[in-house]
Amino acid sequence: MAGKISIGQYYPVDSKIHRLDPRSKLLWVLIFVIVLFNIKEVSSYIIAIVSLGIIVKTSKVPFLLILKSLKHILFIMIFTAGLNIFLTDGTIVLFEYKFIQITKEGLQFASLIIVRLIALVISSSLLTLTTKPMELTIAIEKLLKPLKIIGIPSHDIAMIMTIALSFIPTLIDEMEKIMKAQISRGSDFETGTLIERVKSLLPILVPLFVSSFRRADDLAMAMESRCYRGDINRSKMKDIKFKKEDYIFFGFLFLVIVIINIV
Amino acid sequence: MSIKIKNLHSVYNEGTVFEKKALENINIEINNGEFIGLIGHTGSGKSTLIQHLNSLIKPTEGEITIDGININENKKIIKESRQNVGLVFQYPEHQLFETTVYEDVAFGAKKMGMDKNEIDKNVRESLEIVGIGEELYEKSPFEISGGQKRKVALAGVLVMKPKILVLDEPTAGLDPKSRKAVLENIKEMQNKLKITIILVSHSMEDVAKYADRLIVMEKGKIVYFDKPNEVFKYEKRLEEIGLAIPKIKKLINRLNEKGYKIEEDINNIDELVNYLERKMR
Repeated sequence: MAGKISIGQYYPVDSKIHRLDPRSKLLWVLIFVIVLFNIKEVSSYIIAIVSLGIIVKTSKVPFLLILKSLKHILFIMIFTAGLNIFLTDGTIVLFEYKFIQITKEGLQFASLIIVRLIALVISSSLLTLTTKPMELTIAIEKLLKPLKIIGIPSHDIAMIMTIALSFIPTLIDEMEKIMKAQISRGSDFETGTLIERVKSLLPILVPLFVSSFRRADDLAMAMESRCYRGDINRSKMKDIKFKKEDYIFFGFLFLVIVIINIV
Repeated sequence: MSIKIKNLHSVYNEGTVFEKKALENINIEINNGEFIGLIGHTGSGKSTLIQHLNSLIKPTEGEITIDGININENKKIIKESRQNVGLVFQYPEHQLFETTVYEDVAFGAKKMGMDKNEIDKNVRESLEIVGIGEELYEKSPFEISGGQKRKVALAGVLVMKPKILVLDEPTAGLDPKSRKAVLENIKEMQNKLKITIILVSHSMEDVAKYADRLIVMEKGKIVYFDKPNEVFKYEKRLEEIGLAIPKIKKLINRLNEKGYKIEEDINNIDELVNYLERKMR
């Protein structure tokens, strides 16, 4: 049954964006979000959105697939938009009914918030769509490395992420197996009251916990017996490097920021 | 209880890029009280096939009937058939979860809606069959030994009083001595309870001795379905599939090639020596 569920949402095509150093993409999302929350002019928004559009186009990821990620935040979008429309004070009143008041400023502000949210989600999902989870953990490890001076164990954090990611398919398989075994013994996960259904999860959760601890134990033992000592003198099989494309990418990013500031 | 499988096809993830044919045109009839050995290499479809017997996977095409009743007819029949067909998964000890051995075994009986006295009687009976003594009843299933855990898990299926018992590699990960003990135990159980048994394995050596008939599977299809001695005649083909016949059968095949004409059912080296001595005289 493995292979049915893909981890993360990596979209496997070859594009300039896919080939970028994961660090570049990570930094881009970070910078893009900061910029997004600092601009106020409509023209600045247009430039930011256009730059995002160019990157999306270069990534060769189908736009529909990216739009799908917006589905999850639809409620938040409607909610914030609603709040902003009704609660923003303004001078030009478009509509008034008892205490409800819609102003031009409110509408403007709400639409900007929506654009901001959409751009935020698109940029961050583009990161996971074009970067393998493993690449991402390496990037996080390398970016956090300077923080070692203040005691943040970047390697350990990355290792924890790597292990967690690689255990997901194993655990899904295991859960499926245990579920089937308990169904054979008469468990029923579909009918009954809410309390009954929550109770019926117990025969799955207990064995699942037991087996995860067992697996964790085994893995720790295996790592120790192979002399794992954290990142002391450890080299990487797949290292990441800044290439020409990355400098071009940052050049593009810099240009966008400059234009936004000029306009 | 007799099982009849007609034109069974099974496809995973139908209609997606991950589509995979797991079973193709399976036709089997198993009589009441038979001991069936289901053999095949990893990925040959054995596990998929036995999961159909409990409606854990529904047939893409075809029909499974137990005593003439289609097991996928409706929810009530599915539940009944799950009680009639006890399915013991690979490494069944991984499914233990209750606080005590007794409670864990009782789980299935409770879910099947048996009354208190019946549950108590069945729990004690099934724990006795697998050889777990009363001193372990109140222990946590997590503090007993590996072999004991497996026995408790087996009892957890027996408690539902299945008429057909399906075991998926019950000897996986056991040492030779426990392997033999488990298999002997299953055979004994069959004689005592008069139930039908389907034993899944990838080792001929394990099942040959106990099975009345063997089902050999390859890539989702049935290759042979016959008495063990008949199946063992196809030594070459079986090796192509990746299955080795028991060493003693191999030896007999070699001897027959040399012109010895051994017809008798011989299962170990001593029997063979005796037989040859008699013949030579």
